[in-house]
Amino acid sequence: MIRLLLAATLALSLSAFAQDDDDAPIPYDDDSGENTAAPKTIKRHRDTLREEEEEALEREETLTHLDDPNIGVGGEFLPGLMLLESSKGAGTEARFMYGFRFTWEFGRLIPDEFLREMFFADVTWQYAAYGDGTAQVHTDTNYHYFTLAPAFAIPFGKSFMSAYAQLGLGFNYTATSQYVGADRIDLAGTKFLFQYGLGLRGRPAILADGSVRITFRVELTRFLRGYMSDTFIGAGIGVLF
Amino acid sequence: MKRLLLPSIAALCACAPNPPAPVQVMALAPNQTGAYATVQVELKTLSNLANLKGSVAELLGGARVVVDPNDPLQNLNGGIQNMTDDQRYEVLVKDKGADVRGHFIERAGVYWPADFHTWNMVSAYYNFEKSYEYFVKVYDGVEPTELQKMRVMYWANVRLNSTEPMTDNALYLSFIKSFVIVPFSQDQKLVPLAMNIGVVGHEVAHRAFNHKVLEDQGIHPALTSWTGSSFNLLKSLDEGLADFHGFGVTCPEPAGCRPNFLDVSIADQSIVNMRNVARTDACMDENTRNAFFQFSPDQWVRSTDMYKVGNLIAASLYQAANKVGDVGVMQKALLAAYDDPSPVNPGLRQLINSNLNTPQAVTLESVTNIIVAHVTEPQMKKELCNEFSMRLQLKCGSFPCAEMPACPSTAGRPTQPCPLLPPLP
Repeated sequence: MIRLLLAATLALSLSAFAQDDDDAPIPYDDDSGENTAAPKTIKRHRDTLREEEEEALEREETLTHLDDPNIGVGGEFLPGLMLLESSKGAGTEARFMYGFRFTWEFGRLIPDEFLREMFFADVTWQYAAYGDGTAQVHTDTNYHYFTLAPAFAIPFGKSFMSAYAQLGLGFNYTATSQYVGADRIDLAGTKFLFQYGLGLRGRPAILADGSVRITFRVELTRFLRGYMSDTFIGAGIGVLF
Repeated sequence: MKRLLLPSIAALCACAPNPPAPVQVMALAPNQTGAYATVQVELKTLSNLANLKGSVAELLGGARVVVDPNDPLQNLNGGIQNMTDDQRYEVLVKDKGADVRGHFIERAGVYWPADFHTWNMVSAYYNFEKSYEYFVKVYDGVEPTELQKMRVMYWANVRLNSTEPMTDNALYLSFIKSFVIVPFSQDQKLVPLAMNIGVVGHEVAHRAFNHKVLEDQGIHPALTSWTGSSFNLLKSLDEGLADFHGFGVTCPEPAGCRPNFLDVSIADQSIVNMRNVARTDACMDENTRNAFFQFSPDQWVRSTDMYKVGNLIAASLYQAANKVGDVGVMQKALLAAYDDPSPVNPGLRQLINSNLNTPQAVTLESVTNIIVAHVTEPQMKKELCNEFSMRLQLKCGSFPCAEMPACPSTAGRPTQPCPLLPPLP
């Protein structure tokens, strides 16, 4: 709309300028070489009009950024419930899990107003611990999940909420301590990690200009830890700049 | 190409470890001092490490077993005793469970369990394998097919005529032909039963006894029709022989034989001492003797006297074998006595089957006589007669004796450490 208005305004100005030329006496000139000056002027005006129109469009695109001065990086704390696949064969071992993640809304590299809201990526560390056994013989196992996961979000209209789907890769670092009486043996290893999941994400503005936002999520994420499968049901809360 | 790469990596990395046997793993087992410690062992029969399945045992997680007389399904055909093995399994195992999923970390070709239950399951598999090796040796190298692919329900929910699930136990349930390892309660302080090689050996011995003596029947008719001392003897014999074999399974370990193998797993020292196979003061007392002759089957299986009489049998075997210095001869004699079709030297199986309707003929004397009759070493035969006679307070105090014709005339009842009890009224 703005683009149309600007173009119309420029077009009207051009007509007024042309009106001045029309008011002047039109000499009769049968010298065709001198008659080419007017079309050249019109062409020059048209070029100018096009350039100005393009500049106006660029200015309009830049306005999208000005509307949301947020640069799209942030961090979140994520608590939740991790359902570790049980080595016992059936069911899961439910354990509290927490972690932190760094988020980059890389969609902001895309000029398009709609697309720029649709992509982000998380670099996440999550931790859960599981211990079992008797007083004499027991094992403590600590699971660290490191992943890099891009996500595709679909905003709910103009609201601050969106739904997203995410895929990621990383590794699981498992550190275990086996206790037998007073003896302790420590061991650690890594496993390939593949994650996928769904969630809802909100990022309402804290400051009026929108440069600082709160982010929050609820999510359901599945981790393929080598040949084991774990499920995370959790939330996230953080800040986005 | 790139599209294929990601799922391919995921698929490759999602494979469970499945090294060919023998597999080097870490397990909890007795070290050279006899203390339980993390040691590297070799599993020779494993075909799937993550699922802990092999030719000796197959672990199954999350099974649920319910014996409930009010369950209409369990009353079909007149009760579970009239069902086939498959029908009984279908009716009693309410949740058939799933493969276990051991979590391992591999280091230089050795697989380390990464969580407690994987430690427990690997150790249990190792113990089943060692128990199998023990019985192969006792069977004189004959592969005991009944001890192959033993079904082990790990961390099973088991309710036997009760609303409460069992805890802190490891059992062989003949009626579903499965071993069960039930959860331990929070106050369990010692070495878990599944990690205790003697305990697993004890349970495998129940399987061998059931197969050979009780004809591999899930519920043998003697156990449903007999009452009184014949029933009580059958149960105590099973427990005592299982303890003796459990002790035998511990012998090849670096620390050697552990006749008191329960002490690392059971906190109640009175029970531990009472079931010590090497107990020198194992003697029948009047209370136990009265219970033996008077208790109903239900009373007997709930009483510690069942294990006490079993221990008197096991202690007799242990003492006689050690006096001669060859436990192996005694172990083989027991297996030979389980099932012997010879009409002149019948086994326990034949004794039971021929007296299904005359259980009064199945006595301490008749049972011990069959064991003695299968001992090939004359000196051991004599010592065994002495031990049985003294510890079980048999009717035969001097030999020859009509009730125990297998005992030589050189045998005789010692008076120490077990004084002679007054005769039964």
